[in-house]
Amino acid sequence: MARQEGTVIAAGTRISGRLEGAEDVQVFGNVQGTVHLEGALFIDTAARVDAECAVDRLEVHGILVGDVQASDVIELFKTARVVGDLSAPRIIVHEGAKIRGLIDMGDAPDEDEAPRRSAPARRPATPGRAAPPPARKPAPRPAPPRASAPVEAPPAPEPEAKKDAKPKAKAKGTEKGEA
Amino acid sequence: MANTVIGSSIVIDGEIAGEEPVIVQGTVKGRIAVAEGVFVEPNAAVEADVEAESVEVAGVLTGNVTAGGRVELKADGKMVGDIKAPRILIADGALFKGNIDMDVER
Repeated sequence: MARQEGTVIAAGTRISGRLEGAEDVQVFGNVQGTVHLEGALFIDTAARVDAECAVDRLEVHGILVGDVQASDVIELFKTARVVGDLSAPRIIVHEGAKIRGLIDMGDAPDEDEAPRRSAPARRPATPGRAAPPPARKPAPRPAPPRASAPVEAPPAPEPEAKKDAKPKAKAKGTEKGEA
Repeated sequence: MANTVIGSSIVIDGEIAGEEPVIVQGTVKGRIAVAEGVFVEPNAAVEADVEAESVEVAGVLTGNVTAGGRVELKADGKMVGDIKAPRILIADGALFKGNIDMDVER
């Protein structure tokens, strides 16, 4: 029997449980459980994998149900059907592939990272902005002369006035007289 | 017809079932149940009960084997467990400990 490189799960074969190793694995059959590889996992068009996967690279043409963490790249081809969360620095999805799940390509870039660098290069393209026309009018209309000179308010009389004023008692008296 | 190959660095803990031959170069723990042959290659380690049409052991197999046809222990093979099969071959140099049942009619 010819010796083949790597691991192959043939079309009529089902594996359930834990699969670990440091080589590439090609699945044409079914795998169920967990797959931990230092290598690539290839899922063929007719294959189905129901497993939580931690691999270097993942290539899906068939059905994959389960969360995947790849240290390098995940690539979903047009016949792929994936249900699960995908996490990898590079994720490639081809037209036709169907996914349901979260896709995570790592942390968002720092706020002061990329956009600021590209901004100065764009400026020369918009010349009109740098020198706006002086739109402001001087408005030389003379103000109408005032009839009277502004009256300065006299300085308010200090604490003394406070003591004398007692208008309340007076108002009370008039009310009673009418009734 | 494609074979299933479990490569030398691979460890499977669980069950392998199917219709295709299985070639083990790595480690399998649990159970193997296939309709074709199971080949335990040199340097492979199988700690599993095996049901297959035929079984060939050139590595190490620990577990019970039931075969519909032939079980062959190669010269480098080591096996601990019971064998139930109509035809059993043990080569010179092979190590074996366990029961053998060839379903002999009395």
